[in-house]
Amino acid sequence: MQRTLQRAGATKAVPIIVRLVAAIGGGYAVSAGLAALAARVLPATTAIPRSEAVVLASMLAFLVYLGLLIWGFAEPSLARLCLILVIVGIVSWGGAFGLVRLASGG
Amino acid sequence: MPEAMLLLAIFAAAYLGFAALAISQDRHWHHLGGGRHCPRRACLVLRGIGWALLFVALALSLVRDGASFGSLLWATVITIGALSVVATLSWRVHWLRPMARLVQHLG
Amino acid sequence: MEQGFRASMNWLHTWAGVVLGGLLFAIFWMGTLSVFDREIDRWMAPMIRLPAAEKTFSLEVLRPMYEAAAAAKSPTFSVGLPTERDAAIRVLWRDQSGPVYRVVDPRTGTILPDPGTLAGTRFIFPFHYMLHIRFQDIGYWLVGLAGMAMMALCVSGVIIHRRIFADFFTFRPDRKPRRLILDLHNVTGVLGLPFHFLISLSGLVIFWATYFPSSWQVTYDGNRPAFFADAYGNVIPKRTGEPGGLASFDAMAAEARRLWDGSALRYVFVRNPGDAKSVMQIGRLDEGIVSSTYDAAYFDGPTGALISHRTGTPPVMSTQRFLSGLHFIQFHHWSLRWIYFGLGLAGCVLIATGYLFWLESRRKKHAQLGLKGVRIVEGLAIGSVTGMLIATAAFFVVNRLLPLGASALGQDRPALEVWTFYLVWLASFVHAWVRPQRAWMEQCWTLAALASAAVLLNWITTGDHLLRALSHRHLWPIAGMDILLLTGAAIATVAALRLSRLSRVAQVRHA
Repeated sequence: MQRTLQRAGATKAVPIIVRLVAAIGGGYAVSAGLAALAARVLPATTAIPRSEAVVLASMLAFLVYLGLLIWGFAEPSLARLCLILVIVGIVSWGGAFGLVRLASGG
Repeated sequence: MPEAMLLLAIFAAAYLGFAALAISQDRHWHHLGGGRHCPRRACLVLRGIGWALLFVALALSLVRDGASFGSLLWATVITIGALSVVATLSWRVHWLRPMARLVQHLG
Repeated sequence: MEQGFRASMNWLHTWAGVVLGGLLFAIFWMGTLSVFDREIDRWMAPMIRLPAAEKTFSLEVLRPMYEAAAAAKSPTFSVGLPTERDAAIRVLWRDQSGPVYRVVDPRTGTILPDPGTLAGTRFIFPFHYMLHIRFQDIGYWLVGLAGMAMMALCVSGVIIHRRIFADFFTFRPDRKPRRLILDLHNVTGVLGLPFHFLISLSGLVIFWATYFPSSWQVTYDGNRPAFFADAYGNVIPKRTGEPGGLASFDAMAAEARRLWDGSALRYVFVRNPGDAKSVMQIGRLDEGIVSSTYDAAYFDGPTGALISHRTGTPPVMSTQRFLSGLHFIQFHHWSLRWIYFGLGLAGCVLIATGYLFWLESRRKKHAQLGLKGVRIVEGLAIGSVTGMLIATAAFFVVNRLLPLGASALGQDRPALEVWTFYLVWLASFVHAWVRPQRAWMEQCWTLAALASAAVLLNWITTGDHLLRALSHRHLWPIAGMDILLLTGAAIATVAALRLSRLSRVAQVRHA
């Protein structure tokens, strides 16, 4: 990999940049989405109060993000990495905002 | 004063515990005048002593400082203890010879 | 990407380390110093080297300052009360020209001369968590990124370590530099792992609401105060514009103490000073537990009537407070304070040796291939490591050289100190790139000279030399600081001597 970077032709740099963006940016977006979804779902389905669910969701998000970072650099298939991140991202953010809509009756 | 004594005891238990664990490893066993490999029995004895001493350090920490400070103190003091063992093995390895010999005799 | 899990983790560890190592070192170093931030304050501001207040004092000494804040329509008026580590009262409000900062002697109620320095609590500590980059909170996010990277480095480091148990205690100082550096990196990394992982995680968890705001944004309609009112019971009044007085400080403080069974108080904080709807918040000081408590009582300003108070925390918030508390170490436990300092330094060694290993394992190959990578990274490493230490020492030295009230080029004294820090730091990078062969050694000599000069200048300008400081209880922080500076100078001298011997040997070999 070092060699790849050192001889960084444009074609070799692209997958690395995509992976960096996917793991760091995508991983963050997905963990934030999951945190939002959990903060909405937990108080509705369990006895956890709303403010507690918020703190719990955000604290666990750090560990989720750490896991996604590690996986983001370990996953051999760049396409699968991006695909899964996009799907989970859409589901989590969509779910969280869907629940917000539902609650406000819109 | 008993507070300081206890702290010293915790450190001593952590240090000796890690020293026992280190001696049970082939590299350090050999370095300390044993054979190429640490004999199975001696190795088991050393590991038993090592873990027991780390447990003693935990118990003393909890007695000294209670559950939350105690566990924090234990987790950090054993790191210092382990680093001290590393320093001893690097520069003052003869300090650990008596311990190794004692186990050789027992084994 | 290379095949295999371990290979990909190796790539992550290498490049995250090289790219973020400088940032991580700065954060770890400043965090390590922040363990003694109040002690650094005392060293840098001789006017607050006060003996502890013997008996309880009247908070009414604050009244004139409160009136000034009310007249200036400051949004808040905040007071940090003395603790064992800090004998002075610290008062902060805003007027038309900006923040106003006062230090008060609780024994007499007199306002002490302006310290003219940001010192430990207002420069070194904020640098640790936000790098003094306020624009768009970029500083916070960079530190957050570094914190995540540190955890990823911990995990990937464990995965790529080939013999984690066999090498658990292995450090071979007699080996070649490359092997020796890797041993040191492995030993500090593996043995310090629990501390380094936990300190990074807890540091991130302190700012959970900044780093993962999505959770409160979707549950509280993006209204941060609404969340904090719910979770923390904050009382935030709206300013009416009608003037209003403030009831007795002491009566409210006594009521707060009564609520917490005589517990000491950490701070007093007034929202809307001088307004008919002012609220005084009083915080509890509990140095006997790990958790950073957020118990507070709220009083109606004009009448002094108790509005609400909170004690105890629900389980998740308790976990958050515990993690925050173990990071902040505002508790009373001197053994743990020193242990944190030591393990923080171990973290600095870990990061520095990581850089050195990268350099040592590529130096020959890069020279053969004519690549510039080593030279660039070496400059980065020198500036980030010894440069950061030199800049800190220069910060201390210039603090003792500038007279109180000094100003130059339109900058006041605190700003001049900070400029010195940054310019010296920058110069260390330039020096490292211009003279790569000798930079490590020369910077070690500079560090030794500056650290010794700091001790000497403290003696000359305040008269508190080491023996005097050791014999007065309230000057022990000064003694501690001097001893650490002298120890640092001694280590830097030994390092410089070794490096110069090595370079002489290398020269002989070349000849």
